[in-house]
Amino acid sequence: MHRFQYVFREISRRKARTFIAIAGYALAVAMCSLVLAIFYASKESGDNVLANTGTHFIAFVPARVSDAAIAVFRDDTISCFLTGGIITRTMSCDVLDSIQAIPSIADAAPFLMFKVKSLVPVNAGGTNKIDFERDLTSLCGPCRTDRLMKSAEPMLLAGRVGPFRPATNTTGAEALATPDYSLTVGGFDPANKAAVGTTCCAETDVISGRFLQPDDKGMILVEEAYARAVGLKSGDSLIIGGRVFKVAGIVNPGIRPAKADVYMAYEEAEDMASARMTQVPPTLIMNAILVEVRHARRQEEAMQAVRQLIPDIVVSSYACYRPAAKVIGINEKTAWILVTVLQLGAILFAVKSQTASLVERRRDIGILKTLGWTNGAIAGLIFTEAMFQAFAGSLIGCAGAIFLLLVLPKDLIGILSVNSIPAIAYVMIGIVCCLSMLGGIIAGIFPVLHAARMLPLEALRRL
Amino acid sequence: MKTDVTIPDERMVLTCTGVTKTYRTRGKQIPVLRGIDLAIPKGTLTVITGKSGAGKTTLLSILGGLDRPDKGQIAFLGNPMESLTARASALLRRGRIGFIFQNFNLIDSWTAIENAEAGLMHLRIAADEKRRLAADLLAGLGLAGRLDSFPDELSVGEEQRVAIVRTLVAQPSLVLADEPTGSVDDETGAEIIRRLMAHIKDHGGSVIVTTHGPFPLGTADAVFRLTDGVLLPL
Repeated sequence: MHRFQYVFREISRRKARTFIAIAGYALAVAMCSLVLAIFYASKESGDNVLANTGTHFIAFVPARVSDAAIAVFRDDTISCFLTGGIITRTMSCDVLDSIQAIPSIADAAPFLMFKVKSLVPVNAGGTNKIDFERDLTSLCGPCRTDRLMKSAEPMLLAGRVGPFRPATNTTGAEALATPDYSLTVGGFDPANKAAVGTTCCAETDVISGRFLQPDDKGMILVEEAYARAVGLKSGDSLIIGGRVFKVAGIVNPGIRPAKADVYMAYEEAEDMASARMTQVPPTLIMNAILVEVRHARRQEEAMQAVRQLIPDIVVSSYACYRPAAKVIGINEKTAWILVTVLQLGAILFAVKSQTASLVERRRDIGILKTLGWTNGAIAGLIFTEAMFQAFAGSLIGCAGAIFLLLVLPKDLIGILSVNSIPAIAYVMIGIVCCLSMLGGIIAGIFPVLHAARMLPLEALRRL
Repeated sequence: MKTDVTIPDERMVLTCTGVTKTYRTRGKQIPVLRGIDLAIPKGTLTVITGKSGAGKTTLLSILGGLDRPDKGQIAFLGNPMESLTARASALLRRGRIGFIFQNFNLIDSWTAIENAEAGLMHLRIAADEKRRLAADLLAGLGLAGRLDSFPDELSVGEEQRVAIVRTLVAQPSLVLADEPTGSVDDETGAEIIRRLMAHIKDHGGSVIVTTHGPFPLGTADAVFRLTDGVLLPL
């Protein structure tokens, strides 16, 4: 009788044991495949989020105290360029092409932020000293109004301030304690969604009104804290640098690196700043570069590349890319530990099954040895049987796992919120199947060694 | 002049010298064989009697290479067996040494013809020829209609006949039969003895039979009694 005939005869004869062994493999493979497919799909989803967590930074060149760049404006409407509270120098936007060419960088956008001297915001409409003084008197009383009016008068005369409207939670007196109330203006490209959204402000930051659109003119976004301080709301108007801007929306960008009190389109900010510079720059300028990196693990590489490209540059980033990159690594380790544990469990189960099979067939092995079968030939029998069971169990387990992935409600699985099974699931099922076959070999080793060590007489005696 | 070189006796199929075997169980040593010397000439029937538990099966197993002696030398057709590896021992047994067990030891998942063919398994004979040889022998023992029956579908006598065919089909040089008639009725026992004698007569094979019960000792060329691990000629 051929070896395969013998194996299949044994398998078909001992139906219950074969069924249990194959079912064990099938269950192990199905569970491993299902758990790993879900785990990896979950990991993939999580990694996609983590890979983009903290993957952005701003880069700027601080101005030295003695730097002539500090005093670049011909009047005091704009006091300085600044980024993150530091007075900065301007750069030509031409450098953006080089930054965008860095492999680890996904996107880069210009940002221009400067400090504008201003009094208080105004509603659209008339501007005159009488209205302003009347409003001030009603809020602060006549005794203080004279002193405050003296501070505000130059700006009133310059037409930069109009009827006063107090902030909701402050008194007029508090707000007017700094009559040269300054605000920071940030100019960004509303068409850019990648670099701007993560470092400056994004559409999701809008808490009232709407976000700036690329073709908007004379529109601004106001940061929530500033809006509260000065009592602005969507639809109000504000004079900045002698121009009236309408508030498109109120935003709360949180603690993004490029944070300003007021945001406007980059072109308008650039025009406002360059028009007031003592020397009109030959190219478009920026004083910060907003950068989006391709992956949390490449953040350091990207920052280093920018540092090498622009001398004296400072990069400022969220530090959260570090834990994000670390978590991705932890997830991978966890997945492999899970694979190892599950496979070990499956192998142990298979070893038990194969050993039980060996005990049942000890007599047959003894007989075959007396007939002149070598240990190698008997090992081949046991391996063939183990592999057949592993193969059959793996196929059934794979089919079961795919079926479950197809029929289980996606919201029940949670992360598989897609219409089809993710490719990673098929890859994982394939890997588990191969591991199961390998497990079949490993599971066969102990019984084979045991059978090989058995003397024929010993095998026949222990009946 | 004394020499260490042993010249094999070509008349002998099997020789053993000073074979000892001791089992160790739970710290106790149980000596089973104490220096067995035996020479089996070709074409003879040797009967070894002894009480149950005397060590007859152990002796047969050692002579057939199924077990190893603690001491002593065994030569089968001039080949020393005590130093063979498990593989070499298995290869030596193939088709040359046949076993008949008291409890037949048929493989339950194989049919009668498949069990009988197993004796030819390793010989370079066409599969059809193997089947024909086995079927002819089975038919000769009255099992022509039971070729496809499984062991659990056969009577005790039929099982024993299948076991004999499995052993004799390859025409081995040495047949080791452990209580071959111990489990069968007298008629089947007589048939078994006839077959073994025919093997000796027709093929020149040698047979060693162990028994603790009735056996026609007159048919034997040599009879020994195994007592207290020592083999005594009768």
